[in-house]
Amino acid sequence: MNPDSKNFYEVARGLTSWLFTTDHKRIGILYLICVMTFFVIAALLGITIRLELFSSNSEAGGSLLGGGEIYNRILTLHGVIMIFLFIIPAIPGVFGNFFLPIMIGAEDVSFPRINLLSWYCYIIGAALALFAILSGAIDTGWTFYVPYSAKTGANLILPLSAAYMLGWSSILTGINFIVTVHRLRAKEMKMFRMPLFVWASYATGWIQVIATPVVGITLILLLLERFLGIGIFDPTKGGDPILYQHMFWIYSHPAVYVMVLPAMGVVSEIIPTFSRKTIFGYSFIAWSTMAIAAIGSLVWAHHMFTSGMADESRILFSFLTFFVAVPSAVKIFNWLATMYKGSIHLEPPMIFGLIFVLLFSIGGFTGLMNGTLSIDIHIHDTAFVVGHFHYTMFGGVGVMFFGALLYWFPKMFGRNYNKKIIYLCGFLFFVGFNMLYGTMKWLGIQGMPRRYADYVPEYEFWNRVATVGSWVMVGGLFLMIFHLLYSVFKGSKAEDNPWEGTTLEWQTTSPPPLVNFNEPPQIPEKPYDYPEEVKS
Amino acid sequence: MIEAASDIAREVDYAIIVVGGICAVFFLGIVAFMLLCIFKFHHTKTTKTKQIHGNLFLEITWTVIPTILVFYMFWVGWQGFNKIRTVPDDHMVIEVVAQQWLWNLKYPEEDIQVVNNFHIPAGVPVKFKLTSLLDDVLHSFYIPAFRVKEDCVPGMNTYIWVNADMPKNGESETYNMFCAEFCGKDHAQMIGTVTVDSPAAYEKWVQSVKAEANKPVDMKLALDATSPEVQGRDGETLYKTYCVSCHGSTGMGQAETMVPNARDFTNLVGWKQGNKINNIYETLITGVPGTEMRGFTSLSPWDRFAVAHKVASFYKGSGRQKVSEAEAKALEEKYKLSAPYEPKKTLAIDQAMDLLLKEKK
Repeated sequence: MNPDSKNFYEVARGLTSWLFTTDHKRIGILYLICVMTFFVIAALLGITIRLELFSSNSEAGGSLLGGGEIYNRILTLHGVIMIFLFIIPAIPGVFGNFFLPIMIGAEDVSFPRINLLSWYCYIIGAALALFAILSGAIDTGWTFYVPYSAKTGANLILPLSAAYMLGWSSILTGINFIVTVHRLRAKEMKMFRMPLFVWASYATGWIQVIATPVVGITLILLLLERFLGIGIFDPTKGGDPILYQHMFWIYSHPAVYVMVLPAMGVVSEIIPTFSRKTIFGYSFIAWSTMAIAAIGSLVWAHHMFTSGMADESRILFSFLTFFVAVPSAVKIFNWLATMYKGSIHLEPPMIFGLIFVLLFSIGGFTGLMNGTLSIDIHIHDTAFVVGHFHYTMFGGVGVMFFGALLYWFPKMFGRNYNKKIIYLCGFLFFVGFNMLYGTMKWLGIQGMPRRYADYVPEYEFWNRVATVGSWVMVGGLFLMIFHLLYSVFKGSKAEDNPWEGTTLEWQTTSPPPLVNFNEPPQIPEKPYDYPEEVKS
Repeated sequence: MIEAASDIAREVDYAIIVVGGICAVFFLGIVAFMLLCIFKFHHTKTTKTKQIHGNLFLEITWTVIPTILVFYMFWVGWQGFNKIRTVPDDHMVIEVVAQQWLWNLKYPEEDIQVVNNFHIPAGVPVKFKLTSLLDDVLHSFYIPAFRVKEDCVPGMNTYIWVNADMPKNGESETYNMFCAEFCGKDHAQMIGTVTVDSPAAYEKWVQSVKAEANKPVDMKLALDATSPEVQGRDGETLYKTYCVSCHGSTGMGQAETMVPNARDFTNLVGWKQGNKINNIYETLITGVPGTEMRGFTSLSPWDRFAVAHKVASFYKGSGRQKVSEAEAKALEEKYKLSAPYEPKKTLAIDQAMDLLLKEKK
């Protein structure tokens, strides 16, 4: 390897070299800066929500935010930023962009300019979304249910345009990944030799391309209603508010798989690497990824078991929902089996991988309770659902976003971080997380509805536990973010392959050169191929 | 666990224990296996790994077993759901109309209506017919003690039903009732109570509501804010129930609550329908057309006067005009305020249908 070759940071300098770049790695870094910024803002908003819920006495003037109106706007901002600006683009935008081409031995994605366009769509969408919420004082929650949302200032058209713009960003990334996987694999990189993260990004690409257009359709229907007076969603015009819920969830339910599949892909990278063992059941994990993508598109109405939808539909969608559990369970069992008879290194990324397995399992199991019709009639729209959702989306996707960052940090920045600090952060995060969201589940079973700015005094004790948990959790997270930021500039120089990884990104330099490889990489016959003898 | 106050609630709890139990066993298995691997195969204790690429038998096992188990869970939920959705024939009906941010409950058989806090008899299946006002938003009628909820959708009818246990003290027991579907600013204040009564206590409550709702009005006392009849009403609580969400606890309206165009009660300028007590009284029945101000038909006449006086009390000056004799008379005649109670001779359409069906059988 040529030690003089410049890495991709060094080939060009200056702001314009970033804003007009078509290098997939630089676009990944651009995404990283944006999603991290939005994550920190939205986490602070979340903390504010928990502070308001520390006490149940807004009647007596004890309300921090002065009542429901401001609380609801903060709640909406928190949800919209976290979902549309953080979780959906986070792993595909940052790590998909950065590593998918490297992992299949390509120099870049198939359409580098469209890749940059997708980042601009994201930025425009983000600006539109924030403008819509702040200018229109939107307080509808991230689901924008009609008829309530139709009464707000911006009348849904602005926020949906934002979702549409962000959807374009998603679609362009998706198309890019699908085409790149089909067209740009290195010669010996067969489909069933690809790392599982590539499989996951590929499946995600298909969902993005197929599901996202529904946002556009909804927007057109809304425009027809607003400007031609055709009653579609508005009951005073003869429309049906439940139809809006269908339209919303036909996109937004598959979107949760857009969020979670890449996270599962990262786990499938981390567990073999730190067990020094080949993945157990490679093709079963790959196929279960495709199965989740397919079945996940058919279960959206399980968000609507108490909406007034026909009983027959509720039964059908409950039945379908349970099937998504099976491929997810298959993945968990395969990951555990991968650890069996390995040589386990509990490095920080592995710790986050295991935290993912635990928290996502809890999220999945409580999802089964939500899917059980009779139970859901009770716990639907309560804090239980909020807890469940955060276990899967934050305990799952959020944790794996940070897991991926820890795993690939040396490769992306060529620097190391202090492992002891990260262990401490992981511990604080895990404890705080369960205090916060585990408690929410308990509150939900006790009957506390969600999106409540205030509550009856019976619920006060557990709400206080949850709020304290939020401090512990965010303390750990922010410490980690600050430490990683510090390490980008001040960390010690990283090796090319610090984790003894077997996938292609570990064959190049840290950070990689502009064309990813100075020498053509060796394509292994199996993606995770370890010798049986381990280095002592 | 919160109290379960019906057979269905206990069945839901049973389902939670069954499904949650299966999940807990699996979860503990996952944790145990993970810990075993971490300790047994930690890199400090291993010199060799075994590169296992997979095992078809295991894959089939851990696909088939979860599939069977989720089928079972689905079946448990379906059975419970059928009970939740199947109302027994011999039920009574309560019509619930939700609006931002209170619950109107009408008892067609008893010919009474109340707001937020209501009673039901123990041991009688009660069907709640749910909807929201047509130009209102989604709400969801939720009673945790009965483990049931269902959305109230404008322009659509939905339902739930309950059959409450006999109260433990033999007389009455009160549970929380919440709005569970996000409906805006005072979503968290859209709370009511359901009191389960023994048949005797229920009958007593119905009679007291009926007597209150139909108590003839003496216009002279009703128009006098200082009369004991008006003072005896809890105008403060009534104001909180009906008005405070939009008009605020200081009566300043939009300036206090941020609800667009909510009237400021502390001045007399620009009242669309007049600012005298009789005008306020009428507005509380009709609402203000074309605005968010609604009529509150569930207020009894005396309570409505109490609210009107409470609203008027926010203006501290002396510019508000007195109601003339003629105006008082007109109001009295228009709403038959001093007439004694006569039971309604009409039937709700549903009741009539039910009776016809029974006759046919």
